[in-house]
Amino acid sequence: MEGMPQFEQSQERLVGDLVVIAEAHRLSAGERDKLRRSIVGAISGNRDRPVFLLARAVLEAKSDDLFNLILPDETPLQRSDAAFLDFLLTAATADKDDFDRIVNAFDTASLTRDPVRHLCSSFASVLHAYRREVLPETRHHNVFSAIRRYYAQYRPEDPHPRNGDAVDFWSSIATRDLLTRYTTALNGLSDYAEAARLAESWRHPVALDDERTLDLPSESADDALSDDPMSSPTLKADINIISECAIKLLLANECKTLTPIAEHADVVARWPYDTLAALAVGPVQNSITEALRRQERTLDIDQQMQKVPKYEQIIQQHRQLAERIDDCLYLIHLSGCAHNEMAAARSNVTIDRLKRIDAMTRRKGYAGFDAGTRMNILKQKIEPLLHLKAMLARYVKAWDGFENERLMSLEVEHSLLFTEKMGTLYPSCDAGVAP
Amino acid sequence: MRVCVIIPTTDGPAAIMRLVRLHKAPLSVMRTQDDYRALPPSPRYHEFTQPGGPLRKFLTLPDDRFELRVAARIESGRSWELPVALAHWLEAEGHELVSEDPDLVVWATGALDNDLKIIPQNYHLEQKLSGSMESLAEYQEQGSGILLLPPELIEPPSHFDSDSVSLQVVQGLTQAIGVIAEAFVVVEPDGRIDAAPKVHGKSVKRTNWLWVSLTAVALVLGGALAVPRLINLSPAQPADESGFGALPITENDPAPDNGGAEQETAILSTPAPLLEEDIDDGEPGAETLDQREAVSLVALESPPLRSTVPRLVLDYAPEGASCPDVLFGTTAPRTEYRTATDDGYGRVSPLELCAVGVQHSADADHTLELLPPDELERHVLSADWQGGRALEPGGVAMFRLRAAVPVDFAGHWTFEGSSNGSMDVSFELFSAQ
Amino acid sequence: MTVRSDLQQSAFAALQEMRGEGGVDSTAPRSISASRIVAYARRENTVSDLTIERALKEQPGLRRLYLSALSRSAIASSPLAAAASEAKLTERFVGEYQIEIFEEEEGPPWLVVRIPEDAVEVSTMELRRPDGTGQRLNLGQPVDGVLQLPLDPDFEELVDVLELLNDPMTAIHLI
Repeated sequence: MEGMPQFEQSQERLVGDLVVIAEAHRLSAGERDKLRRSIVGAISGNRDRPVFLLARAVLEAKSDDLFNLILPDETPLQRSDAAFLDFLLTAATADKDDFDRIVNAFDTASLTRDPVRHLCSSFASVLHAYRREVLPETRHHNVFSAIRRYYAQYRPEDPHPRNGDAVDFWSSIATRDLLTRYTTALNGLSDYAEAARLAESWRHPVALDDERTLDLPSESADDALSDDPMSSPTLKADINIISECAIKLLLANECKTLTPIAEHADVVARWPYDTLAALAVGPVQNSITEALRRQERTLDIDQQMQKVPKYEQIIQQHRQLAERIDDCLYLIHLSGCAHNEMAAARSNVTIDRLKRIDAMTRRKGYAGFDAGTRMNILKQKIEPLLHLKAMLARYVKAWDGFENERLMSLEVEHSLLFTEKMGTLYPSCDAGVAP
Repeated sequence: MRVCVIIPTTDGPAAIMRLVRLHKAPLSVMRTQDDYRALPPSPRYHEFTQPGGPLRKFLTLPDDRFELRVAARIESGRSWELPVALAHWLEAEGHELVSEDPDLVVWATGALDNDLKIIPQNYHLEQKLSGSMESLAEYQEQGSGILLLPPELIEPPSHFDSDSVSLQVVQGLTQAIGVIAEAFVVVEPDGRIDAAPKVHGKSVKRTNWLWVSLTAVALVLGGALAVPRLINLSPAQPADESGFGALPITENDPAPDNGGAEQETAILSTPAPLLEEDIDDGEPGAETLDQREAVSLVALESPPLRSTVPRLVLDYAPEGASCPDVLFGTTAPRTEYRTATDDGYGRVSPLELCAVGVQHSADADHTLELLPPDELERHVLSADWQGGRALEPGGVAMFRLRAAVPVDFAGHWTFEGSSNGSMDVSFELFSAQ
Repeated sequence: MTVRSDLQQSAFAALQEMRGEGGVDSTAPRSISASRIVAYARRENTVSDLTIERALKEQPGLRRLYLSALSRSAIASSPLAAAASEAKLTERFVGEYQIEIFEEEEGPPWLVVRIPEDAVEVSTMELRRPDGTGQRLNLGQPVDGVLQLPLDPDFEELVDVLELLNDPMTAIHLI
């Protein structure tokens, strides 16, 4: 497990919380360790299995009082279950929504079709929030140390991450225990750069009334305060909205292709080389680790690496997806929704686009609605589509900055480097469970 | 007068510190100075004092609740009832309840039944008394008179200074009040120093009074109102015309023959003889008559025909019974009649006096409008006071007493509607003849 | 630009800040378990635990848990006075229980809780403001459906009670 040896020393908060719970429930050393492993997810197989078992035990207790279940002297639960539940409720107090969710899930569980699952999901949500809040520190602590080590060794004169560093960083630092995945290394480096930039900005505070230094988009202050539309979770939610739309706008495989693109939307403009590598290698490495988890003994790394797509192919795919999004927007425009973005789409209407739109209107769903309903449905999709359009525009713009030659040499460089590193990371196919 | 009422407990004495009337509160509460929460006996206290409760049968209290504060915790039991009832009586009489620097300390214990008689049970008297000794000794040093009112005879420790302590076995609230009322009479003329009667005595019969005055009392009797020392040993013996049913006895008096009454251990000091007989007018001294004239009779402006004046009716509790028994009809009263003379009805003994009233002559040919003495109002049951006042020929108007009437009581009965117009007839208690 | 170690520290903190979306108290120390808060809310005495009382004032999350546990176990609760404009409380209903405060000619004000016939007996009153400050009061045993207490300022624990009762924002729980 990543960083586990340093865990006890570095995680004061988790240790503190654990001690409080363990003392309240007079847990033995063994029970205490089990609780710790349940909390951090140090469980083989499904990390959330303890949560599922707890939800089942809670429902089997048939109590109508959630709070009574955590009282050491009154609970009908086993001591370790009561302690785990106590921990979850303690963690849930940090956030009103979490707290309400867990209490509400308990109260309404019996009314749902699958009470265990219902309760389990509220528990898991609280636990994941806790892990997000407390455990990244561990990960980043180690990742940041690794990054510092890397720059101290390879580029002490300029330790600030820049385009192209991620691939080098990963290939020189990744082991089976730390930063095994390239995408993890890329994200870690990105966080590091962001944290360093923020820290730097604190050293040179800008005047808040100076619009030039703030570099605010001119449209509205609300936009600046709302969720970043280019953040990965927001984009993934947008993709979901489009893929679940009653009127089929994008094909299933188009939606599937958009998902990994959404992962790196915040990095691509700054580090296009590293992003391109992530889009090419990431899915392949995912399937390698998945195969290892399933303990497939016939895995051939070289063979797997053959599946890495050509960079030109990826870039072309992005351009096509951008076209598809424009198709959707134009279709919506034709359906009667007025929007200035779609007026722009109209200006480059081609015969191909009209053909594609004609095909879309014949797809299942579209014709099944009357014009009014259709318009209402489509109207809701404008905003998500605009987000995705902006995302793809970011990618296309990054790729447009590439010289064709540079792209070719980069691809060769990356190919050699990844194939070699993957070979050292996964030397044999029966290596057991990967992280 | 400043009175300290002590509720003795087996853990020590609990002096009653204050009694506050509450006008809005729905409950009466008993608590200590150290805790805002009610003491365990508080619910019973509320029941005991609330309208319809035992205490109200005897005391007409304003329709209020009370907060009773005691100096120490009372955890359980009901022996606080007698001292608490006494505190209420004292408060109603206008006395000040204090825990420091009292003129008189009343030490009493006993649970009361519905007739306000002490319920016989083991009251751990010796333990309570020995637990109170330290506190009583302090009061004694400060010069307070001390009145011990146990439900049965006990012997206080020998070091107790008997000069300012008196002990009286009591059986109920009425009796205890009578003793206290008497103590006041003894105390008041001579003030602080002689706060309590200097008494010696012994109980001849447990059910009887033991109240023997010493020389000091004789001096009091010799002066002022010549208060009688009451020993109601033989109620069967006819009461004197004047109404006195008891007499003061000095140390030098010979022991009486009590008709086989059981002799008990003498307490406190020299055994004192007890007798029931009239006070000899001559003994207190020649100035007695002047004193009496100064305080007693009110001259009648137009002397009515005596035969047409209604006669005074006095209901006394017979021997072995108490006023509650009489008032609630379980025992027939011993009734005395008094015909008006030029001196009015004369003086009447208040001892075991349960009711007082007047009866119109059956021979009269007219109805009288009765105006009883105003001063009587606070001593009689309000129901009786508010009743009709028309006195038909042969008719009786009785006023049941709710507490012992103070010995210095004096007032006039007024009858209107007689042929001679209005008639005032004076009426006094406890004056010497 | 060089990244020095102190910059790393700030960067580290900055990262935490970026991710700290859980509200103000997400980074506050939590040294009190939920079970301890629940047990405190449901205690049968009126003893105050200063650590918990302080935490209730400082940590809205724990306060939420506390009030939730309390209101689920309380026999009756009233979140705030109906007539918030009243300067002084003279009468307030908590569920079917009537609460009165009045002054007598002499002595301290009195608190009276009337328990209707057939209603569950209550013995404790908890007063709590939205900011987490509050107090619990033992009401003793009822007599004829009435609980009555002098709000005697000679007692430390009663000094704040009157003030709390007069504050329309104070939630009253009967336990």
